[in-house]
Amino acid sequence: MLPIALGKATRIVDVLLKAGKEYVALMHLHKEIDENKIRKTIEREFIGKIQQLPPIRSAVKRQLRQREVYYLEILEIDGQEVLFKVGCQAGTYIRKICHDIGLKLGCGAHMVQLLRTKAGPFQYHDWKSLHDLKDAYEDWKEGREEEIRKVILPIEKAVCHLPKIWVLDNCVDSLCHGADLSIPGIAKFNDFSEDETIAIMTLKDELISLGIAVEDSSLIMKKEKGRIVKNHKVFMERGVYPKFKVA
Amino acid sequence: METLLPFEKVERKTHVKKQAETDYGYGKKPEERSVEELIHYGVINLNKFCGPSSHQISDYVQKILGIQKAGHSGTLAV
Repeated sequence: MLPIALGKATRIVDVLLKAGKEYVALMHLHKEIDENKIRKTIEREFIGKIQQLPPIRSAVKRQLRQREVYYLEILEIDGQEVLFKVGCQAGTYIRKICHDIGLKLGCGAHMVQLLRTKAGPFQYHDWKSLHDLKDAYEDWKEGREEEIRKVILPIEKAVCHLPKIWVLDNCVDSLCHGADLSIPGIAKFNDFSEDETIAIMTLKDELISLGIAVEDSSLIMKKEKGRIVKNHKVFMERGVYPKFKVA
Repeated sequence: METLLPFEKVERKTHVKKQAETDYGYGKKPEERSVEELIHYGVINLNKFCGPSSHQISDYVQKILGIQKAGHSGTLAV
């Protein structure tokens, strides 16, 4: 699967790059190995924090780095073929996991096929094809918009996995101009910790911007002023909400 | 086995700092956007199998919708 962001929403893909992923992968072992040994090795060595050397052809610097595997479930073992589902931190190389499982088992292994089944809030069970998009677009041109609304989702869908802060109408425009968010502008909030990426929303649930928390959310109830979120990427256009005039 | 990513396990509670109303004269709820607005400010959960690259797929999407810009969330990190 491949979440695509359109037009002014394009920059939202950064948030998906950093989100957790799930894949279904088919691994081929170079020799037949006892099933129990496969299961035990994977359970013991490949779930939790793992050390990984990015592959030769990769977009990042080639040095050992730690990645977290949240779960790895074997779906089927058929002779030398192992089908598994893995949930992992962004930037985990599944091809490398297969290679490393082969090394640990002493038989060698490689990845045959890979399918992404989750990217942050996007899941395989509601994905759409290019054909769906084309058909829905034609439908819309002919006056029916039901299908295209199922294919193209509001940008807010891409941030539904993040903690949120909802702000007062009168501070929306200053956020659109890039100002940071302070306690007086906050109406509602989810819990978050320092350094987390936060989606800043209007009370109509529109995305305004993404920011980085500079404080823990517990501070919001304790204090009446102070900066909480450093504004990072603005999505809402300026002027949608009025400029706040001091009375 | 429970197969949930960390954020899927978090139950997010919403706390109220200040009771406030929003003025419906400005902005609009995401579900009230027009299709034109969505085409220039939306996301698609597209499936991708082998074959065309992520870049080519973004191109196809741009052509189908007649827009100048569409971005994908990275090649499959293999």
